[in-house]
Amino acid sequence: MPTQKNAGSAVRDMLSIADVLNNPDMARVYAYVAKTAEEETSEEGVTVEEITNELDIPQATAYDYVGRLADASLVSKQGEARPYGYTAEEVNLKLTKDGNEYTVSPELIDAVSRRGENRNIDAYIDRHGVGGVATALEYAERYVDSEMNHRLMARELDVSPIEAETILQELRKIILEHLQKHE
Amino acid sequence: MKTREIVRVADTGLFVACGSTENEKFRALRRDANREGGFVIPERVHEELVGTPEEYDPAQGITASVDQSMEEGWVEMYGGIDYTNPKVSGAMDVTRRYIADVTDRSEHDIEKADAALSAVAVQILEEGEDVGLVELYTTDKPAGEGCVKAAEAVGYEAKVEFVYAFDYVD
Repeated sequence: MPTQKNAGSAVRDMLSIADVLNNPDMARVYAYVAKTAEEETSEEGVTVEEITNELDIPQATAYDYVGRLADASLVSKQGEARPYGYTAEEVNLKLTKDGNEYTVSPELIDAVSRRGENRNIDAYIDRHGVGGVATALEYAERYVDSEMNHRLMARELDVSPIEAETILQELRKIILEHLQKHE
Repeated sequence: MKTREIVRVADTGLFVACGSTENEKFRALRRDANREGGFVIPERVHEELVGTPEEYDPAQGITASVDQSMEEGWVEMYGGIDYTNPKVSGAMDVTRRYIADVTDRSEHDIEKADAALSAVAVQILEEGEDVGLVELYTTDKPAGEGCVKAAEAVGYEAKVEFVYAFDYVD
């Protein structure tokens, strides 16, 4: 049963996830930890040094991001001795609006983390915000399941068909990568 | 015996997946078109590919690649659909119903133009006696599958084949 303490903790988690979604570099750190820890299937996790080298982020910034992600329980510290490794916790924040349930998923964080390197995602966020990507992701899930197409999405969201198809194809790649991870 | 002709119809998603003219996937598409035959695109698809508002930057590269492929002659627009032909309009109705069903939408939400692929496919078969097969290259599975069913419904069984564009490109 939800307690008052749980409510506070849920709101803190929500704010931390909002931080991640508003900060592509922090999203990249989270996505990198999630991806690498899964690939290596190592219990030791990823160190800050690896993050610094791989993502080309200054060490002080990497420490700051990892600390904030750890405070938010999005990553957890492994081992007893330095250098500590970090593994990612699965994000699955459910929001309810107007009776409908929406999910902040690892796929959304992954999409946001690609902002700097992927101009299609970059352009979509510029035009429709992170919230717009979350909506597009719902369409993309159904597109992957062969239950949606770009024409319907374009009409329902008032975007051009080519823009709908472009973001659907980008998000499809992310969804398929995450599906493979869980196979 | 004379080999029956295959006509390839391409949808928007194929060109989006192949990207701009510098993209290796676009070059591979051009090589394949030169080897196996070019593509026709419905007017509706052409509109989608070249009629994008300028402020959406990523589309510019795709529009340029479509323009270039048409200049080079391996992509042609297929216009002048005869909607009074009952087989054409019948196929479109079946496709619309199929799309509405799998996307969980009302049939009113599916526009006639959403079934443009099936109209083109059936008209090609109506006009071309030598045409043995129409292949539809699309990322739009509801439309692709709907077209195959629609063609069957108007008497063209096994004459339309749906090729999932991602399988083809990758």
